[in-house]
Amino acid sequence: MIFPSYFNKQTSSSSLAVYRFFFGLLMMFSVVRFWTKGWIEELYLQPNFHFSYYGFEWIKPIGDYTYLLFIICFISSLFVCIGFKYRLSIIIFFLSFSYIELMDKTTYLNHYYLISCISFVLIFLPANSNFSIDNLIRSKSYELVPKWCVDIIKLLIGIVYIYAAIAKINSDWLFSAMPLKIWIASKYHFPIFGNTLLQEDWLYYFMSWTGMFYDLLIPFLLINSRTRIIGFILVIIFHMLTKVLFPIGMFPYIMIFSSIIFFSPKFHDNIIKYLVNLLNRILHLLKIKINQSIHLISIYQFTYKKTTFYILFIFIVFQLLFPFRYYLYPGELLWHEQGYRFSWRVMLTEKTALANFKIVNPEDNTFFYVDNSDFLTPFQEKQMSFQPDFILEYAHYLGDYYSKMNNQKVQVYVDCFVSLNGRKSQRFIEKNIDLYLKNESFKNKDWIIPLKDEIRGI
Amino acid sequence: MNFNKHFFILFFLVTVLFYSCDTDMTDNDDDSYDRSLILSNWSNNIITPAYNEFYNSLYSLNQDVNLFVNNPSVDHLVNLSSSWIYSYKIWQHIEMFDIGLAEVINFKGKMNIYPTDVELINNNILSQNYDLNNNNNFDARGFPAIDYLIHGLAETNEEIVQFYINDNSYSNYLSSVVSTMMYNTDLIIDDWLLYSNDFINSTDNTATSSLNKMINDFIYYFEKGLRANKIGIPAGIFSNNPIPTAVEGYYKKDISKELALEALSASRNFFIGKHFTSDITDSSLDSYLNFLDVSSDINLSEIIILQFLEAENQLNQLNDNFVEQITTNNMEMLLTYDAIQQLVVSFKVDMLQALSISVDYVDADGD
Repeated sequence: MIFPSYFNKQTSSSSLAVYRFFFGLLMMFSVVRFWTKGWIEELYLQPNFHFSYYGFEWIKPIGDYTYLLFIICFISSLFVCIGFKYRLSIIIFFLSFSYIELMDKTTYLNHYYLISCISFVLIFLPANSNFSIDNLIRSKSYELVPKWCVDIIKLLIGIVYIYAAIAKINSDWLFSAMPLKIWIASKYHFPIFGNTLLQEDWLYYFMSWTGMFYDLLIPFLLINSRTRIIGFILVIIFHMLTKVLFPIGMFPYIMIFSSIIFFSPKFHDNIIKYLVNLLNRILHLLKIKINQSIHLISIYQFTYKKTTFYILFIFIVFQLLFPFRYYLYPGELLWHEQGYRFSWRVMLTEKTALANFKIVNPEDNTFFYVDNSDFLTPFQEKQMSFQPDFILEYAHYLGDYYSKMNNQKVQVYVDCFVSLNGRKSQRFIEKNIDLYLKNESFKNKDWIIPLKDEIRGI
Repeated sequence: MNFNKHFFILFFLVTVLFYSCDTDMTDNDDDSYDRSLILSNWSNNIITPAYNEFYNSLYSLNQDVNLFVNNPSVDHLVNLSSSWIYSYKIWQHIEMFDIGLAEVINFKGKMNIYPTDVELINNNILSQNYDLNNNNNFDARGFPAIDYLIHGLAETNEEIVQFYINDNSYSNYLSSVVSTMMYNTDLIIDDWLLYSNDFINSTDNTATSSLNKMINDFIYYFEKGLRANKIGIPAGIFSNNPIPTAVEGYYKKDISKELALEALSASRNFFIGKHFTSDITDSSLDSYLNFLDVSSDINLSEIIILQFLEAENQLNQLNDNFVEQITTNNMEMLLTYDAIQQLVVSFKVDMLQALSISVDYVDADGD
């Protein structure tokens, strides 16, 4: 059995400490960035209606208190960063961040989900065993932590990359260079390259194929000490490139920072040393003296070793299986998007769509069309128009609204057209199906019209 | 272990193999498209001449208003009515240009909000105290207000003329409406002459570039100004029952189809880049779509041009007076709406997909 011996292996506590420190820092920055861009107001306070995740309909923006939520999220990430009351702080961070994420699925992003996953795992790890305020309070710090505590983060990052690569193995991505072709060609105004390189057909194929191989290989390059430097340089180049080409916010920074975890314990020891020196110099300048003797303990021992182990084991199994749930749905995943989210499918589709809802009074068969801008923000309308669960939820909202107004149950139909990855648009939803009678569930939505084309792939 | 090295070699082999197999790769040699050609065609051959013609038409409209108010007669009224029609038709060619100062001062809101508010107009005339540039009067001015003032005050032309003979304040109001329209048009054209240079050179794919704004404005106009306002709203698409009073040119009665046809052909002209003053066509959305050629199995430009033809045929089936059409057989109105809606789908879904336009209203991260 290699298992017991593996789980008894120890590694420097610096790795987790460095990860915790930078994770907290990045999250603080993310929250501030989100706030200063005015997105709290725009995305959570202005809309009258919010799209909920199935089963989480009770999670809604809470008016002006939404700002308080972001403050809580900020403070908890500060505390995570400095390692103050770490366990409590990371739990609060996980809860507040996930709450924010669940308030409206219009804003769903894979990297928000990644942050939730990482912070969930961090709850169970002794990331405050070194370089933390908690060390001062408790007068003790730890030299070593179990090796799996670091490896589980590597595993999580590895899953993200490899699953993203698997998702790219499809005929649209590899053989039509879609949607990269559409996106890159539209950057014609870029200096120097815009009208030359970025318009070259071979470039789109090159980027698609390298993108796929990059995702597939990067975890292996990072894990192998001899290729780690190359891997890390590739990580920086790739993510900076995507940063320049696409509006993907904090994602590149999170991925660049996350790959640091793959570096050797020695590397992390040095970072900690550097940070401690820096801190001491600052404290010296401020004439602050800390007369605290910290008792250095060699090995960190888990209090609830078994429980922690089982929870994280189940979590990892879930991570491995959940992205494959789309196999349970017939038809083309990229088209119907059932089982699309929470599966590390990044940048796979370019969709434009139009959804007009028809409200019918069954008594006299009179009808009218809804002006979506009466109920939704342009961003919500865009997201709603090509995602069936959004369309259904909105249809119910409209059904409730107009049934109440008319004092009798109306029927709700939708005229919906979607264009996927440069294909001619086609009708997306059966136009003669009263969506008000259909309910959300995990069952296949048989009122979605299948894509009249085939996308081959995994 | 040389695991990674092997993988790299394999990867490059696969890539090289892939490219050498693919023969389509080199057929698109001309990879730069001069988008400023589209903008200069729109600016020099469509927008500027249309503005100029519109100004001239307003100028004669104003002259005919003066002629009529100084000497109210049926002849002068008929004369005024026909210059109103002419000017209204030219207007159909420029309402879509919601750019520059036109956007800032909401030019289309000053010129063509219908149905017009008859009660407000009458109150204004009574009180003789009004500022037509004030947005409180948004639906008591522009072409629809003139429509009411010269066609809607009474049943017959003789009776209408009597209003102007008996009460000077009608003449004053009519003159103010036209002079306010001229005043604003003057502002727009002056600004356009200064702005058009920037317009031509702003070809970036950003939310604020004139190329993107103009395309977004064009689609917005086609969806709201044309499809909804001219057909959808009066036909009851957005309400429980049809609203025949909401047709364009309601008081003139027999002009709603003519105006809709004019707007449809203005939209097509814009799409194919036809010069305002001749049949010459230059760079525009259709040639741009052909250049992009996103999907090989469809020709979007051809599809759109066919859809224009279908919409025009369907529109031609309708009664000259939409009010009559709606009250006798609204089904035809709905069919016309459907034909125009096909174009909206092509513009908003297929064309935007091909152009990968930065949409001006969505500001958030993606991944």
